[in-house]
Amino acid sequence: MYLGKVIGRIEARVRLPGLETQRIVLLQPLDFNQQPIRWTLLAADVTGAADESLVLFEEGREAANPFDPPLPIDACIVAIVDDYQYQA
Amino acid sequence: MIIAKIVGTVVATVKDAGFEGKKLVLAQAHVIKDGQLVPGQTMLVANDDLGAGQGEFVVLTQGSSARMAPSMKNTSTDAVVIALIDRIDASGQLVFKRS
Amino acid sequence: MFIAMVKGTVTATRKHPSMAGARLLIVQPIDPISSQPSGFPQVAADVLGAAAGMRVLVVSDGRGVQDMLKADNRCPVRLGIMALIDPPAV
Repeated sequence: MYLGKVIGRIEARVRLPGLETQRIVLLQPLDFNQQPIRWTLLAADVTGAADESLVLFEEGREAANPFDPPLPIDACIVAIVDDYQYQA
Repeated sequence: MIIAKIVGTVVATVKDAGFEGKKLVLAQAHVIKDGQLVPGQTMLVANDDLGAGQGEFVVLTQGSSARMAPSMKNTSTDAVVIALIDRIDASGQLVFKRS
Repeated sequence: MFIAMVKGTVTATRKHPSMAGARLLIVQPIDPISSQPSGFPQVAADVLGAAAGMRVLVVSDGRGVQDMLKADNRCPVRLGIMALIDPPAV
């Protein structure tokens, strides 16, 4: 999992079947000094994360696992971060 | 997933059976940088069942997740258009709206 | 699998239920020979009791993590700490 921040959202009326009500948010991956790393990406969300939330997201085939029946999802928010301790 | 812009189509007569009747598009990854929607570094070919047109912004799923789309069950793809984007908001600002 | 240095912990009340029994540790992948950081820090599930400063073995496949967490295949976690690496012999 990577640390990230919810920085926005998208609207899309035309979607593949099964994704009609799936929330898709815009994420900025961060390091643990909360500096931006990598590039922005889109992720599904199973936690109800609000804008500006610090979250953990997972990528790859595993990101589709929470969905039954399976959905074509390759990134998903899986936790909302309350707090962390980090010593570089 | 990534934001991508449809920049072309790919036509092939000889292809794996799973690709018969499937539309292929050329898509350029886009990212949000300093509050703007800008081209990213990757260009890729993706399956499209939603009828994405030239210049449209879409949501692209990559990797083995792409085959979780019901219509891709028998297609050995690793990238699929899952939605057509109407609007993107980042950091409280409108960064894209379909015209 | 890769080797990483444990750099911290994350607490998250709201999370996918499959992660309920796991600790969430910040792990910095390192070069196994030079021990220099390699790539960005990530978060891995832990049930072995790894602590900050330890070198650990991290698997990056969900199937292994599901077995480790005794979770079903709805579990989305990809990184799991599979071993605590012994300190160098003196």
